[in-house]
Order: sequence, then C-alpha cells, then structure tokens
Amino acid sequence: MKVLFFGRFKDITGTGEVEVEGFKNLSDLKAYLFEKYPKLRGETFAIAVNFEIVHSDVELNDNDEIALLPPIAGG
Amino acid sequence: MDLYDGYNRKVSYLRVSLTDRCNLQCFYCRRDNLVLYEREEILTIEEIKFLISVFYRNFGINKVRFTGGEPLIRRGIESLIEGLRDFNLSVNITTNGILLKEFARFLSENNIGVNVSLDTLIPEKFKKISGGYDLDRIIEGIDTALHLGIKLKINTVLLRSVNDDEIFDLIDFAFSRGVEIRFIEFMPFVNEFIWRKYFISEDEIRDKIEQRHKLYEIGEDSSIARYYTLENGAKIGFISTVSKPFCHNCSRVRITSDGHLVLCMFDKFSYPLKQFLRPKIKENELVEYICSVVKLKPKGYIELREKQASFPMIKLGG
Repeated sequence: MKVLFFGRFKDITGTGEVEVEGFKNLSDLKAYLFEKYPKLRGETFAIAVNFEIVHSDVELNDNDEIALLPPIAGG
Repeated sequence: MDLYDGYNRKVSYLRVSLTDRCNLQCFYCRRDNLVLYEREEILTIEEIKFLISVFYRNFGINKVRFTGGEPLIRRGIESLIEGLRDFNLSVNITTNGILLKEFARFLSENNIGVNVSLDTLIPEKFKKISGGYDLDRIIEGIDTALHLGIKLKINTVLLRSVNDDEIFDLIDFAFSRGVEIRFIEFMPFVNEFIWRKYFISEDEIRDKIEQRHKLYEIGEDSSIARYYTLENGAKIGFISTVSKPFCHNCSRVRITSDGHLVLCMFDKFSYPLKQFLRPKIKENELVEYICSVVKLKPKGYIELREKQASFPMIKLGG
C-alpha cells in the first residue's frame, strides 16, 4: 500500500510517498509511521484512505492509498 | 409537535426572505419583468418575529436563515435578531457582503452565522455579474467578520466562461482565510437559455479541480452539501441542486417577504400567511393551516424540473 504525505508532513518525513506492506488496519500503520518518523507524533493531521477522510480506525488492504493531510480548514 | 411533510420529511429549518430589494443586480438572480412588492404587502418586523416564534414554539424548528433580496438592507433587522435572542435557535444570514463590514460587530455579538456570496475576485467581472462596483467592500467585510470571530462561509455560483477560470483563486482566497467555500450550481431561475449557457455541473467542477489537486471526500453529516478537502487542507463543498439534488432529506420551508409560505423553490404554489396576521392574529388557525399545507410539500426538484419556478431568486434568496 502507498502512503502519501502532504504539506508539512512532506518536510517532516522528507518524502512525498512511501510504499509499505502488511498492515491490517490504520492504527497499526499509524504506530509504524510514528516509530519511523517520530516528529509526526504530536502533529495534527487528517487521514484519508482511498480518497475518503476517515475519523476512526479502519481495516486496510494491500492496494489502498493512504494520505496524511494538514488539518482541514474551516472545521 | 414536530412538523412532517407528506413524504415524512421533518421540517426543522425556516428560511425567511426579509425583503425582495437588493443593492446588487446579479443577472442570475433577477427577471426582467420583475415587479417588486408594495411596502404595505411586506411583513413587518413584528410579524416576521411572530411567524418565527410560531414555528419555534409549535413545531420545534431549530434553524433560521435570513435571506432576501439582501437581508442587511431590511430596516429593523437588528431588532428582529435581538428579538430572537431568547430562542434556542441557530440564526444565520446569507448576504452579498456589501454591508457586512458595517454589521459585523452586531452580527458577531449576536452569534449570527454568515454566508457570503462571492462569485469573483476581479472587479470588472464583479461589475459584469452584479452591476456593482464594491468588490473591495465585500472583501473588507469578510475580513472584518472573520476578525470578529464570526462563523463564515463563502458561497460561489460558478458560471461558464464568466468565472470558471477563477476556481483556484477562489479556493485559495477562502483557504488563506481558513474558511470553507461552497460551489453552488446555477439554478434555472432566470430562463432556460441563460441557464444552459452558463450552467456548470459539480462533476465538471470537480474534474477541473482534480487537474491540479487531489480531492479527498469528507464524510461529513450535512443535509445539502458534499464536502472535500484538498491535499493542503482547503475545505470545499458542493451544493448541487441541479445535478445531484438533495430533496430526499430536505428539511426546509421558506417564507417570502410578503408572507407566503413556499415549500420548495421549484414549486409553483405558495401559501398566504398574512390572512392569519391581519387585521388580527389568529394563531390557532395559522398553526392548523401550516400543518395541513406542509403536507403538500413537493417531493422535490426532480419532480418539478420541467416546470418553470414561479418565484425568481430575488424573492426567495436561494
């Protein structure tokens, strides 16, 4: 699966995009990303899975595209 | 008692047109042969307040929006808003922004949500669309309102070959101020020819945006708009009355400034309420009347789209 970083998260991670595999759900992936990019901890971001913003943990599949976006303006 | 229409949709949102006058003349809002209401036909501020209180006390509506014409040119709007302070109601206004700067402090103090119609950022285009010269004043009004903490949204009607080249500038304008922008589809209120010439659908706008941005859908609970965020966090919404109508969960009814109840913007019928206000108030009869006519609320735009709407926008305020 592909993880895209936008805005300041691109700077924090030093990349726009990484390929990862084997994650069954979003919380596992987030834990991995926090481990790999500690500066992401404490950041506020929105997460989209396959172009849809998600607000809770969801299951992931191998060809999903996940995006870390800056907080959404105007609520 | 809650108010339900004949399709079991709950009516909880009242839109009240305070005047059919406007300080702009946007071509998509008017009709050439427009006859304005005589002064004595227009509901008084006290009558409007009473009608809102009837809907509030009897039917538990929770949201009111003042429209026009331009609601901020209605004399007495301050006392109307002050008169609703004790109600547990979300009170909002849709304005063209010309007078927003002058009213910003009052609106802020009374916790009024403000939607500003803004179709262009280019003065010459603004003149072409609206006949007015005061684009700077609108932008100052928006900035003043935001500075005072007003909850504000921007509404944009995109029109083919008029302002569809400004999509990205308008999105940036809103994003740079931390507010959301909603693209509202141009509705066939003027005439079919003009509508076909200028109409752009949500799908087409989204295609254009996706040429430069990624669009992420925000599954937000809203009865009428679909929301997206761009990869930079800009929030945009679509209100697509024509291509993706939201009739199935419509919760709104409207009152015109001359006191007619309008159940759907595209309905050719309207229901006179003044007969229960003048010469003297008959609240029980009024409540009964509203209960019975609301059952006639049309299923929606899909059913009515072949017919010409009876009210021009200027009398309904969108």
